[in-house]
Amino acid sequence: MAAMLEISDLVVDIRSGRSTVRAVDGISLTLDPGRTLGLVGESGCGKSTTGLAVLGLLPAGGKVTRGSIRIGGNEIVGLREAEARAIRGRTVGVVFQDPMTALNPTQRIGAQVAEPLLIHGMANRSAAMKQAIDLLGEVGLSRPAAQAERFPHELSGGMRQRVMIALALICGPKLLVADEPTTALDVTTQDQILTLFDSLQQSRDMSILLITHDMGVVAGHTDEVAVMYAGRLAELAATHRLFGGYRHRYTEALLESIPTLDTPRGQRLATIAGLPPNLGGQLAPCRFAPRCAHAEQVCFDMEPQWSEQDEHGYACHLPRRTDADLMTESAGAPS
Amino acid sequence: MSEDRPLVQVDHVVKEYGSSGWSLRNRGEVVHAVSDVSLSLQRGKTVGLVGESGCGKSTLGRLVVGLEDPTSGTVSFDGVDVRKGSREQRRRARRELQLMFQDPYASLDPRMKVGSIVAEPLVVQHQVSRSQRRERAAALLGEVGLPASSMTRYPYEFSGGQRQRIGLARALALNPQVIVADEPVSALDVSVRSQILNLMLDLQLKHSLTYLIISHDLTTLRYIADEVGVLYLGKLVEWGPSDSLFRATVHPYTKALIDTIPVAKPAPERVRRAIAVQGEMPSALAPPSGCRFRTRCPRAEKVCSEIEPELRAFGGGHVAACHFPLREPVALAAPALRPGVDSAAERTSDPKSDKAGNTTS
Repeated sequence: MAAMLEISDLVVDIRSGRSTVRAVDGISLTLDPGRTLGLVGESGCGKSTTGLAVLGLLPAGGKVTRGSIRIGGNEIVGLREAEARAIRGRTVGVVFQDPMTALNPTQRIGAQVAEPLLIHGMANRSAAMKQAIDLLGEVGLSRPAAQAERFPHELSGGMRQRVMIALALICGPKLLVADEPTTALDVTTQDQILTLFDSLQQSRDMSILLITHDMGVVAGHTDEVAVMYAGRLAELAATHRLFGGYRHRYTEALLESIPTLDTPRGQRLATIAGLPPNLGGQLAPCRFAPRCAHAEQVCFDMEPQWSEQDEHGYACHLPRRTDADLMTESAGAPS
Repeated sequence: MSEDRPLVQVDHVVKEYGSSGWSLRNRGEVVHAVSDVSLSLQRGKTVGLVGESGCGKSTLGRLVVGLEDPTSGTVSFDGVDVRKGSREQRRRARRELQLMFQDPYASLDPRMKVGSIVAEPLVVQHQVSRSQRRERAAALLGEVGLPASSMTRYPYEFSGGQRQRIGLARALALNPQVIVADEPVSALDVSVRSQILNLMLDLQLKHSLTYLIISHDLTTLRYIADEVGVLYLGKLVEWGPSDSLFRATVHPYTKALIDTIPVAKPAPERVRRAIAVQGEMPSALAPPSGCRFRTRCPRAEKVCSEIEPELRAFGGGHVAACHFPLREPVALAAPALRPGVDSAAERTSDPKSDKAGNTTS
């Protein structure tokens, strides 16, 4: 089965003024039909830029300088905008973080949700409105016909995000790019929206690229996880494999700096020293090395190669040893 | 100044806002932001307040530091009503109670140098010389882990975490006893959050600070707070020592909040479970009758719409307001636990247990 989304060796440069920043530096990912891939990392790691490149919405000055992006098997890098749009068009939907700024405040929500159908010539006005109302009901708005007459400001944040989802789904996309879709919401609403994603994915057999900074969200709602750091891919694995045996020292540091409900009260939290690097400046061969508690000379001398075993990939010279490693070692050791 | 008296006492505080007057449709409607909340802060301890957007937690924080006046009820600092005391007492309360803001990008004046931002409270409160102020600002920045050279730079030159450090330095400028921190780490990246939380714990030990930390993030509060209060639509629905609140939860709403925390733990596969709580918080313009949570509560029955539940004691300073709690209340409340007098193991208790004792007996 062909991948729904295949990114290989993607490089995105963003030029502003005279300086150029390499926001994404050689990322490769594959998202199969009907699956969810979580793309996680901190601000500035390139996760959103990767999503925007897929959507063809890179900011002014942003450009894919190398690599390939295939959607449903069709290459979109190097195509003229109109040609790329013909491929993305109905196939890709998007949900952004802030539903207030992403919706048109002057248009009733029913008309907004129906608009893409009219633009793509997929339905006439009355059929489009009917579909929009049905979909508003499907994403969890009660009395959708009445709600369709309302304006975005009349809805709560959670309801607006549901409208955004309806807008993203109206053309029946096969791939949904969701960039921090629940970050602006309360935990209870977040739970409802993520559960909605899960059920929509099942009913519509859709692939989801879920971009988030929240390891907790990723743990519960994705099939695979890609961890990004400073424009590079640090680690990539099936979600249960990653959380069960993360290898990259950045993944380790990130997970261990999050307090959990079991963290003893007042115990000092593990921290990651310093700040993520400035991508416009000088970068260490392993980009995490300057902040890494386990870094040795080799990390500053040589770029770590991507190594992959049992569909678990990572780029780290001195990876964390998993429980399985420790078991093999102790079994092999002379007693 | 007795040691067992709570440092800050919030008593039956109500805050209502008139709806915007220019709208004819809404004229006369009232937003019930905080409805009859009482709580106390013990010296050197940390209290956390949690709830969804619109539950009144930020309003409560602003009431505590005196940025808002309550519609009724009182806030006292060290036994003195912060609105009724003498001019000097009120001035002192303003000095001793400081607020650390949520958004490090909006709460620092972009046209002021960091040194002036940190020293500004000194200008407002005392007459100290310019050179003393500079010295103090440098020392404060040092305390929060920023170099003295930051003084002459502007906020835009700093990252979110560094700005939150600047906000903390400003809050510390007047040597306050209490810091109210509204979502101190929500706007920060995960790897930076733990740095700020550690710094706050260090500063608390060093200056015996009392914290009121407002957050929507239960995990953070579980980690940093001695006691946690849960607010729902302007009401305190549960309050207790951190461990007890999480391990022996009483209120269905608190349970729902805990269940919705996304946990970064290995799961064998994607587990699909029922949504913990349906719907959204109703409008504070017209809170539901009886228990305000009843419209979303899985345990609600008829009585919940008729009678407002009172706070009842569940032992160990743990109180909750629910007709159908997840565990049984203490049948007859023990003699009122006096805040701060109890053993260290008890940590702290709550003035609530006092009141709750009366209602159950």
